[in-house]
Amino acid sequence: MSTVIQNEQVQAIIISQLKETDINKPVQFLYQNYYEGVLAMIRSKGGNEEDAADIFQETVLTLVDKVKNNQFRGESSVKTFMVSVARNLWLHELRTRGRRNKREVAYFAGADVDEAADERQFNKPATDTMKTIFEAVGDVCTQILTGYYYEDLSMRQLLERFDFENEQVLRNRKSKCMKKLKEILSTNIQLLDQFKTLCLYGTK
Amino acid sequence: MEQNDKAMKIDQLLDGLIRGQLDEKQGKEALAELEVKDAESEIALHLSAAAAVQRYEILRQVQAVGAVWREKHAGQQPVEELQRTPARLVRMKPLKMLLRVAAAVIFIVGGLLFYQISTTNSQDLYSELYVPYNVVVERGSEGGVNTLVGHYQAKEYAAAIKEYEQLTASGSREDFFAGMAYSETGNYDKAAIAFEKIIKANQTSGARLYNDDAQYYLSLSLIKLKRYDEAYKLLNIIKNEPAHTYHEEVGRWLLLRLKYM
Repeated sequence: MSTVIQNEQVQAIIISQLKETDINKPVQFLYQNYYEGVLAMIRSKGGNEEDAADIFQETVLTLVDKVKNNQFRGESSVKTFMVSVARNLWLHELRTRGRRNKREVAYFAGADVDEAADERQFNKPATDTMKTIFEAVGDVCTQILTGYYYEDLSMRQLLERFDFENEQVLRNRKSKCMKKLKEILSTNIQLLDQFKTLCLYGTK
Repeated sequence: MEQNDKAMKIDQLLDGLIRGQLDEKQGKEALAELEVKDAESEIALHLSAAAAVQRYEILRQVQAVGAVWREKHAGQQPVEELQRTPARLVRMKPLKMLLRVAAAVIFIVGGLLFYQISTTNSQDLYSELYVPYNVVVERGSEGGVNTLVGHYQAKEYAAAIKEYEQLTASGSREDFFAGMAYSETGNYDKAAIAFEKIIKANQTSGARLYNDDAQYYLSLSLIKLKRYDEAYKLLNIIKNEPAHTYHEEVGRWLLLRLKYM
């Protein structure tokens, strides 16, 4: 009984920490506690360590996204969520890759694949594209935009962090950074369509 | 410059919408005032860009943690393999290996010990323990003690023995050099008697004249006579007495071999 309470408390802490801007600690916890299980599951279904690393990262990102959007209601434990999302993502990945050998076909026959996996915003191609986009936006711009849209900082708070003459100059720079990002995004219709469906985290 | 100001105003307006400072209607009206043609698309694009920033940041943080974690755990045995092997055996594996190494070491050490003990003889032990006795006595011209010591010093062992056997009475000094002369000539029985006489005399008188020397050279004689138990006891006394003159000469390894002879 005490273990159950303890697990619930740990889960509540993890969820609460994932809502913060710095998510390093809870993500470390997720890797520490659930990576091996996901790795074992993926290896048992024909994947390798690299596959597991990608799927696990995608699973963590999915959880973080859901928590930050208040879509994770805690009806299932974090562990159950992680394992089931990872399993669905991996099966989806296998299907995408077209690796339908006999064993997989047999598995699919009895498997309940979540079709939501079709909208994978954090799979490897998507994250690689995201990385390319923000590399093009530049480091300083990314940091300014992150401070404003992710950390929800005011211009005054941002000014303390960056070496700009005054708030107006920073505001101007931020506007240019956003313009640049929007221009790049506009050239990637597929990604843009995907982002259009997303909600913003905790903005006022 | 004007274009730049307009872009900044639009950006602020859109941020106002995001942060709930304006509702959608107010936002669209304000955008219309700034001659934004497709306000809806502009809002959608702005929201998408902001959402992209948020997702990119969580991706960056998760990737960083994942990279550190994988680097830390690289080369470790995969969980799947751990799960395939019964847990008890997994835990036993290092212990089993350790026990095997320990058994091999014990076997090798035991074998070496057995070999050393089985091949050690009295001559080996005697040679290891033998220390020449240095006389710090001047050679005298007169008979008696000084003559006996002088003969020993000159390695005239037979003459020293003859001198000793002619004495009507002897003290520890004569007994000791006689014992040494007997030892040098291979008369270990007589040497042992001479040394034992010194030890007994000292026990009676409470003196320690030539006592340490007598104990040590007696043990050597006893080894030669294959009276190993007696030799072991005597050498053990010497080893356990740090102040003994010959304490440093007696090693544990020698005692161990002597014990099992």
